[in-house]
Amino acid sequence: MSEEKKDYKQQIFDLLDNYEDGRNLFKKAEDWTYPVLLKPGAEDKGLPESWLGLADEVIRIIAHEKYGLDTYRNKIEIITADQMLDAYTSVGMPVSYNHWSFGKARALQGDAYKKGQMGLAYEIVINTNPAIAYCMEENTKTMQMLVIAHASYGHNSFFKGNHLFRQFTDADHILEDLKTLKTHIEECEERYGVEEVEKLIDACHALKSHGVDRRPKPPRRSAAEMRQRQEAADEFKQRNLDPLLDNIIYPPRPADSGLSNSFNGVGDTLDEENLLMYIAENAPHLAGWQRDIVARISHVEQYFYPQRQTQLTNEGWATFWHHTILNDLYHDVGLIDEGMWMEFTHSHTSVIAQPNFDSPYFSGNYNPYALGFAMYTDLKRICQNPTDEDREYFPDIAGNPDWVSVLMDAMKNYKDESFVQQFLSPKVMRDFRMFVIKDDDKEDTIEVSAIHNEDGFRQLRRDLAAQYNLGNREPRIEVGHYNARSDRSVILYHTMHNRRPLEERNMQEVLKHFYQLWSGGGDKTGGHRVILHSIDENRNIVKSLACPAMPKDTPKPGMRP
Amino acid sequence: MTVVIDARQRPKGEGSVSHRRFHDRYKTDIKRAIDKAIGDRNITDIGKDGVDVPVPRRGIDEPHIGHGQGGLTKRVFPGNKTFSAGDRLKRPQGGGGGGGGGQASQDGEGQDDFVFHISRDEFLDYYFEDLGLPNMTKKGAVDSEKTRLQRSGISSSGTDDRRNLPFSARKRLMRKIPSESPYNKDIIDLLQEEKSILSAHDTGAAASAAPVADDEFIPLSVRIEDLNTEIAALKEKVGPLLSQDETARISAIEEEIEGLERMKSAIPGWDPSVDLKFNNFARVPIKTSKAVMFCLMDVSGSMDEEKKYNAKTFFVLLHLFLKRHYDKVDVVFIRHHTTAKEVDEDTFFNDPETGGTVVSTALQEMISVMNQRYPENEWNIYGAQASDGDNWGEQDNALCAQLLREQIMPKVQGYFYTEITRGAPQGLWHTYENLKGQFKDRFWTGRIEEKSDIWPVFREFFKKRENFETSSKLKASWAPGSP
Repeated sequence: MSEEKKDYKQQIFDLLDNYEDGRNLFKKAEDWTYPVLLKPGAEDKGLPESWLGLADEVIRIIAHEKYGLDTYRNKIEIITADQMLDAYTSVGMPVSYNHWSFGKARALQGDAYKKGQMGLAYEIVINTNPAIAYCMEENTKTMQMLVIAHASYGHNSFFKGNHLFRQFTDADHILEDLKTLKTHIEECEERYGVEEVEKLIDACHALKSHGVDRRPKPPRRSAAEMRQRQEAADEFKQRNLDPLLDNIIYPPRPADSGLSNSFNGVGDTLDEENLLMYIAENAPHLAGWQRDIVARISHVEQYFYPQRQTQLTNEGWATFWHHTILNDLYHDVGLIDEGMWMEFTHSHTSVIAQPNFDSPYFSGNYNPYALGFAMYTDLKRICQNPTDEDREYFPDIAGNPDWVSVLMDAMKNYKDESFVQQFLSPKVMRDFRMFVIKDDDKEDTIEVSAIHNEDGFRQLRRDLAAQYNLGNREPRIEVGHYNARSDRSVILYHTMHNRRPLEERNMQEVLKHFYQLWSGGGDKTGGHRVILHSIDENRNIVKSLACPAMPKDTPKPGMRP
Repeated sequence: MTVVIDARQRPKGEGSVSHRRFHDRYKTDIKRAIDKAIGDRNITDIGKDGVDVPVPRRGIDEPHIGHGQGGLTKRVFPGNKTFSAGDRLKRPQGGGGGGGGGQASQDGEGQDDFVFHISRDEFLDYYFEDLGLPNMTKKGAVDSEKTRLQRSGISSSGTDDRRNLPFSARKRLMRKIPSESPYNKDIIDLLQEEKSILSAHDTGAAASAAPVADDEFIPLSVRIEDLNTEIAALKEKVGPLLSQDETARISAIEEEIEGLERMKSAIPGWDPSVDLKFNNFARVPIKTSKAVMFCLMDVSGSMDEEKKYNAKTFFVLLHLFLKRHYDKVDVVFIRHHTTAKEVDEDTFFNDPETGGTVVSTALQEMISVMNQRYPENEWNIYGAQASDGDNWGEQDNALCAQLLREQIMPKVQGYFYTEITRGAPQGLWHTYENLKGQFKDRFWTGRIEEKSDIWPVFREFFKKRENFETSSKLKASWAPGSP
């Protein structure tokens, strides 16, 4: 045993020796409400005075001292099932603005829960500083330990370490931002009416998946700054008013119907993928407060953007650590007994169950807990017991004595897609018996294009990584043109990938919302059309949608006007 | 250090506004569900357990940007058993191939309606939002029939099933401990004397032999026990060293103690006649506010099924509305053609018996029931009459007016007349219109031509006027456009 290891054990024992029940404290407790008694003389040391606080401290010592996990401070809140449902409803954030869709989610989930169709999560953890973990009151003592290890140390260290979270989110300020958003929306409701605000938020929600910056960008100008610039520009224009010159510099262009057969405008597309921000900054008729809300909702979405890309890695990481830490508690430190160990093993196994593709429980996707856990565990194995195969696939890390740092690197610098691409090992592929189905609508049958064998490993890995690529999962839609000088219509381009079309009925509805934001209702202004072109690999327009619909005599795509 | 917070007591306020907004959004669906519930069930059952509101899935889905079926997809699945690379399979039905599995459910095809449940209170809130009850001088009479049992202290007699054992045990201790304590105190004194005699010889442990401090928190019996063990130990240790005098004194002490113990044991440990206590209950009359609602309906030949249905709907609404304001609501059904009869609900709506029309008979029946069973000083009386207005002759109309004016209106809190007919108002209508002027505060008339008229008429009756009690628990939402 290394010097360091002795160290963390000694720390735990020293800590527990301050309590009446000493090292048996965890075994003796019936549940997490068990009262812990400090020995006389130890009262003033500032030690945890609740069972949960003590469990957390012991887990912290293992996580920090033995493995060197770096975490935000923790805050653990015990809540009821009802409150858990509330937390679900507000997308897991402790503060969320009022909107009917959250009420709908609550009704749906509450219903499913009451009927027994759905269990609740044992915990929800929030990427804030300090990280807030919600633990259900129903959890047994073992479950609370698992949950603390999982959420307060697993997820928490991921939030603090992963590069996406570091780049895109601001754990220190998110709660404040959300509170401001909430009060701002409430104020707006009071001033402009609930209906008006609700319509605006409906529209934002429809576009929210495309309301994020997918790449870090220079800081955006605030609304006030934008206004200032606009005013300065206006003033300049007024002072130098020269209609003649103006006409020469900006000749009035005919309305762009946007229906040219072949799309060649690569050079002059706006290439703006954050639709919400684009609207907030450029929509011709939005009032200041509306722009503000749109921008802020985009900001909240941005905050969730890393989460959408790190489900596998994040859950896998947390699962790996709760497994490791609880293992230490049983085998290494001996603080929990066989009963607790069995209970832990039982729930751990059900968490990492992976139904097969033909099972009725198969959801259509991999269970992120299962695959993530398997991958991190295998990484550790590759470091400790590498086979020849591992040496071939992972020459850099096979046999690396410091497995913790290999895992840390994998946690910090990857997202789901790249993590799979980089670390999915042949052994995991074999264990999961993976195979690829290629479904081409041009053919009558579907094809098994690769399976878990020597020939298939690389293809499997590539295809699974692609499956986790958010860019493939979500249609790529960008703002192409804004005809600011003519009819103020806006043209969106959907760049098709593998000929996959948009879900049209939904898209039509989304366009209505876009139109509403863009035209401010449309009635007063006559409306500015929103057009969406789907473009294939050859830059041809395959399909067009518009809101309001194009007049009948407009030439169909594929015909030159 | 990590902060642990017990947040269970925190109010669950966060979700509630969203919850209400969600319901507001589906108001029409909620109303439709309620309409349906009204049609299906008995007057008294409606809304008992709240209402399930089905909303078409399509109407509730929030639009989002997503892929549709088609194109080329590749997906990696777990659990291969028999496939080899290059195998070709038939495309599974329904999901557009393996690739579509995830998306098929998202666009909502083939899914059931989304059903959410609103509780009885919520549903009534919606229905009677902004409506008030006129003349809310509730008569909070005591209903002598109804009583309930209420705990009223402890008694020393009672039946076995009401024995209060914890209290009896406490009672027993309260008796036993004080009566034993004089003996116990004497015993302790004696024991301490004995101990001091013994410990005088126990040179080695003088310090430990110090008498126990007068610690009030140690019960006497415990102290006796402690002393006894100490003495036993000392005896064993220093027994042979005792002088004769001392041995004699000790045995005298022990004898005395034995005497005291005997006296003590004469105190009964458990004396059922004194110790046993019973919970006492008393019957308390329940104070309720009661209302009776008279449903008067014309079943003459001219009232067809549709008209009856409209009448039923109206009665249901009234009943629900009254139920919100009174603890107890009785319903009296009176149907009439040329004669009137009090009937049960089923007969009221479904009996095919029919005939001509003499409205006054129904009013007379109502008056007699009122006089027999519902004295107006105890009951809040409401009358609701539905008719197609086709009465038999001017004479009877005049009689109706007279009955109402002289016998009914002075006693009732409200009288609602709905004329369910198409076309021009009938004779009865004009008669009642005249009456309306005399009883502005509690006589209302309304006309229902179509089913859709029922609600507006009902609302008109109960539209909040000055001095009305608000029926809705919801605050009127902030109206857009105000400053």
